Amino acid sequence: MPRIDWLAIAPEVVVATALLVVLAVDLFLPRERKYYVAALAVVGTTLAMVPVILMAVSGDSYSMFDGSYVVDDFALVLKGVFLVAGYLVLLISVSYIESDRYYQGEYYLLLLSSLLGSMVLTSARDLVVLFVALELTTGPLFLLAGWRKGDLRSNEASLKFFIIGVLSTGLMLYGMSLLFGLTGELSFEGIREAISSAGIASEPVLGLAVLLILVGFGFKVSAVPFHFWAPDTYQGSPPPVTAYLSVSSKLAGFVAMLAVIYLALPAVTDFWGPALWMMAAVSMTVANLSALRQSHLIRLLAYSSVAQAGFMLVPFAGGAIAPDGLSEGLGATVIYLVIYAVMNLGAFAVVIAGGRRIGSYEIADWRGLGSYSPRQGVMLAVFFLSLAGLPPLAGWFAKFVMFRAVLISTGPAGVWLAVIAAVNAVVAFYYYARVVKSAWFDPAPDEIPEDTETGPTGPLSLAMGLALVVVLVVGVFPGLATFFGDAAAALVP
Amino acid sequence: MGVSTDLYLAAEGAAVAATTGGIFSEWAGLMLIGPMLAFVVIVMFGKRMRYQGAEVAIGVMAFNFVWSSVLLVLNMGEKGVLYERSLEIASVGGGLVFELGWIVDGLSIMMYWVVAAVGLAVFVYAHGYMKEEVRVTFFFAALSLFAGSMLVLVGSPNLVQLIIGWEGVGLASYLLIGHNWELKENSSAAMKAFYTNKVADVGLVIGVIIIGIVLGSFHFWDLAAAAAEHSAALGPVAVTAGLLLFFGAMGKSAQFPLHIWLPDAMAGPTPVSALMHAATMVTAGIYLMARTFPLYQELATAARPWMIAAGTITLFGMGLLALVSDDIKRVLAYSTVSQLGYMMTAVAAGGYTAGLFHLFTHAFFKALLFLGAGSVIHAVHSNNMSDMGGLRRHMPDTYRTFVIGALALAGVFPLSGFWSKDEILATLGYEGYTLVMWIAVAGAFVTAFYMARAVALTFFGEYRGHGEPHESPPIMTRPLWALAVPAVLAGVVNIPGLKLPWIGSFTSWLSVRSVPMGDHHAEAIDLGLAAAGLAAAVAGLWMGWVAFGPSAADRPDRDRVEIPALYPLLRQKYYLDHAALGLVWVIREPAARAVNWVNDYVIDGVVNGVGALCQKLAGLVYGGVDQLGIDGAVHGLSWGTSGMGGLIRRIQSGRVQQYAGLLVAGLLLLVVVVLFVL
Repeated sequence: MPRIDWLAIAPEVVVATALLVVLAVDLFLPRERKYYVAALAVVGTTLAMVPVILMAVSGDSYSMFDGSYVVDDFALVLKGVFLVAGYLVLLISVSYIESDRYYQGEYYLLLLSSLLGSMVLTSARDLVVLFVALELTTGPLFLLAGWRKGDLRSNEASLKFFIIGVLSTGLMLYGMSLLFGLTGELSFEGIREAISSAGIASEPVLGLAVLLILVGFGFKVSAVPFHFWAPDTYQGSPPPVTAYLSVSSKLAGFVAMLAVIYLALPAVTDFWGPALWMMAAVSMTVANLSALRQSHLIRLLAYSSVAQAGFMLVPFAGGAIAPDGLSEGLGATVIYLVIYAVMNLGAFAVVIAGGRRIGSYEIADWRGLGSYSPRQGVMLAVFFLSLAGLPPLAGWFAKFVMFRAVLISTGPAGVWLAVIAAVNAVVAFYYYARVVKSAWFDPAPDEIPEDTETGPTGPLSLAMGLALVVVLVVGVFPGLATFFGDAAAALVP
Repeated sequence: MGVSTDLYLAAEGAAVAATTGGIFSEWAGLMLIGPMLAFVVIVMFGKRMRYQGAEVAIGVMAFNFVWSSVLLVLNMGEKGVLYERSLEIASVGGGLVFELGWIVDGLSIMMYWVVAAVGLAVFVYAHGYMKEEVRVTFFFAALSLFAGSMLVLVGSPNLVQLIIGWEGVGLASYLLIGHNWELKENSSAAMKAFYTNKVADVGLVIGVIIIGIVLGSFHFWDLAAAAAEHSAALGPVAVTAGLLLFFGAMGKSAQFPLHIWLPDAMAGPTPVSALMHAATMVTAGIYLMARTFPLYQELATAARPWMIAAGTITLFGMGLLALVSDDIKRVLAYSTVSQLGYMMTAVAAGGYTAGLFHLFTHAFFKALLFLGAGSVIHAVHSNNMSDMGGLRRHMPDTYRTFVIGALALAGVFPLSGFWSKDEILATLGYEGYTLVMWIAVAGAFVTAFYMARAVALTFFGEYRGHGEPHESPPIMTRPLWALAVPAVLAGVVNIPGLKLPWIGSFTSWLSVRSVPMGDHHAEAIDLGLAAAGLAAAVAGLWMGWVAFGPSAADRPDRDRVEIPALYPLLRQKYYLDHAALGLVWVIREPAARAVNWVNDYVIDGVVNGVGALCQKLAGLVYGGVDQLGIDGAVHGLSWGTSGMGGLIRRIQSGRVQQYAGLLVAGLLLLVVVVLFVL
């Protein structure tokens, strides 16, 4: 019986308990009282923060199960991010899920399961734990994407997500089994040592394994060319699920990628460096150009999230090029993830709130939003301009660390990627600003949409308010984000 | 607490005595914070205020004016002011820190004062001008943001804060240019300004990050010190970084070919134009070049010919464009572009003082001219000079001040423009750019010519518009007179060889930081060159007058020439009239039209072409690559035929298989490239 440190797994235990309580309580609640379930889920997520904060304050790190499960600063930072993102998504979901004939109890059960998966993922230090955690994160989302059962589009979203997901998972598993076959090890540390001691860092088979694993991660983070499911799925899913997909699910992919690349494969830069360089460049370019053509807000946000994934891949490429760029690259990606999670959830919260009032996600129907609902208009402007990277909103700092991580190499490859990223930042500005322009500068329609919200608006407003505060404060005091980045960067051996 | 000033002075090897400026320096940050707070206060409470927030904006600007005037006086004379304060906000990793703060030295004091002085005049004027306009509260909030961002920019001790101010200026200008956004023209002008600047910002941001990484600091002091020591680390990237920063400056300071946004920016209300063309926005690029002057002087010398080329094309070519515009604001806008070309050329040629001196004097007379034009537009309800004429009699205050501004801009002795233009010419000559110098002299001729034309068409002859024009109210004319004073006198501070007892000289104001390595300031005036500049100006004025003055309308009736001084000249040398007209024709017709054509079709064409290309590319990528040619119509149609059958058909038609196929193809491509090509 291995020794178990209960404090170290307390966050997961709390979430798992909340999940079981939600399942049990749901059975006994009449339909009109189902919102208690949502409250329980929110409480569970909040409670799970407590042990995370306790461990972060104590500064200890914990290792269990022969080092397969580690709670260190990297894990704690990302557990915190997942919990905050999950908390915000729960707040965003409440009124939406209650407003129609959805299965409420099961919705929260599945959302918490996915959250549990991503929290375990942050601590995974071997391939098996990583794989199980990653699938626990994604599995419930196949169901949630199809949550609007009567809607064909939602069914299609779920099915496409599932088919492409299964395919990429299969390819990833193939890559992992090749890696295991080559090194005989499952733990990241063991793989790293085996690669250096056996001197197989430039073996083509190893390259194939690395690239196959990247396909799986590329699917999760929706990087081009593994992103084709994303626009259809994002558009078809219920918007709160889309918010979760575009943030937590994407984050999970990046966390897995960070752990595998930086812990198991730091010596194999020859393979993943150029691959991620190309994926970053192509993702940014294809997604930004595609986004220019979108008239549907959620589809626009889908392409925006693909493009942002491209920006987040840039520091990886930088880390591969610069001699001591690994910790720089890791820190930059984590900072970008933290900031992106909050601003993108804020953007989704505004889009959901506005969409419920306006009854459409067509950008043209959003004209004049600022004139009849200044509060939502301001929120929209703040979150979209933050996504665009305009100082002093938090997004500028994410872009800044991204540029620094790739320019630190000062070689031609780094500078070229920076130039591609910079040009893309300008292109991206165009479509973000277009939405803000429509909301503020175009005349309002003759019939101003009435505010017909019947469900509770408090949680959604709270989510927007929290995200707004974070975006403004981090934008002015980016040191807060750097703190997380520095803490996480200690992961690099 | 910031970097030691000793380091800087030591790097220069100069023994310039400096004071810290006491509490006025220690609290100078209030000038940066004030307008920002005003912005927030006006947005939140402006609508409930008596004057809709204008009182807050004007009050804060007045405070800034007083404060910066005190600093200006402290900085005059033998001892200058030198102070810097930085608060560390964050460590951004890699040993770099992000700081906010303020810097007080000759250069920034001059900018504080110019922004506050011009800003105050413009704000007061705007209070009158905007009386009957829409969204006055929002307008004053955005004006405060505009001025505040500019102060954050010029007060910045480091490159990162400069970028924040830089973006703030861009955002505020976008809001202000598009103020009357109901008109399509205005909102597209705002977009054009914003995107042109955004493209240029790419250069600035990459340049700043390169400098930060190589230098390990974003501080201007460290940059200057490293440049002075010919730092081995900075050397290899200096030219790249220098050109990137210059690219950023080209956008804000409207250098050819990124000047295209500025003339369109005329769509904004006139007070905005005045502020934008004089003190905020367009001077930011020149300021950046001056602040990073040591980099160009010592390390990035290879970048300088490019900068001079861009500046020279701008100063001459854009001046010609002012000749063919009928819109009075457009004439002034091209004139600004041309004058910015002078400043950029001067700074690039090594004339730190000369470029900034012209920035200083230009701020006053250009603000004056724009406010005068606004007063005229207010009276005749048209921007077109063909609807004006004869306003001299109806609007005496506007007329007199406008003429003062025009003469100052033309560079007529002894107005401020004469001294600053002469300083530029002298510097160009001294630095050995003789050809550029003569182009600049020719540019002075063109400047005088179009200003004479503008004055003649607006204020002389018969009134061609509708209704009865009236002089503007005192709240608008008083700022005009207030600006006329420095437009006449501002040159006094930098007359070669003349050192006023308590003012000191402009060079010493700015050289407290002892930046100007190798900067040249003539000890005595070069009479020949000054005469050449003045002759060009007078010739331009005269020819403009001959071609467009009241007599031009009915030429046979020569006795009605109205300026007595010119009259005998004209009668005795009648043939010169023809020569002048011939020359005018040559300049006006083929040359100016050609430049105009290039501007309208080639440059705008390239810009629009790039835009269209992006759109096209977007369509191609989205339609062809991302959606495999299944266009939106088919997409929509398949949703129209809802029902399970539609869905199955779509899946059967292979979309998901296609996605999966593309996924695998992507993988294979990666494998081939990574394993076999690289």
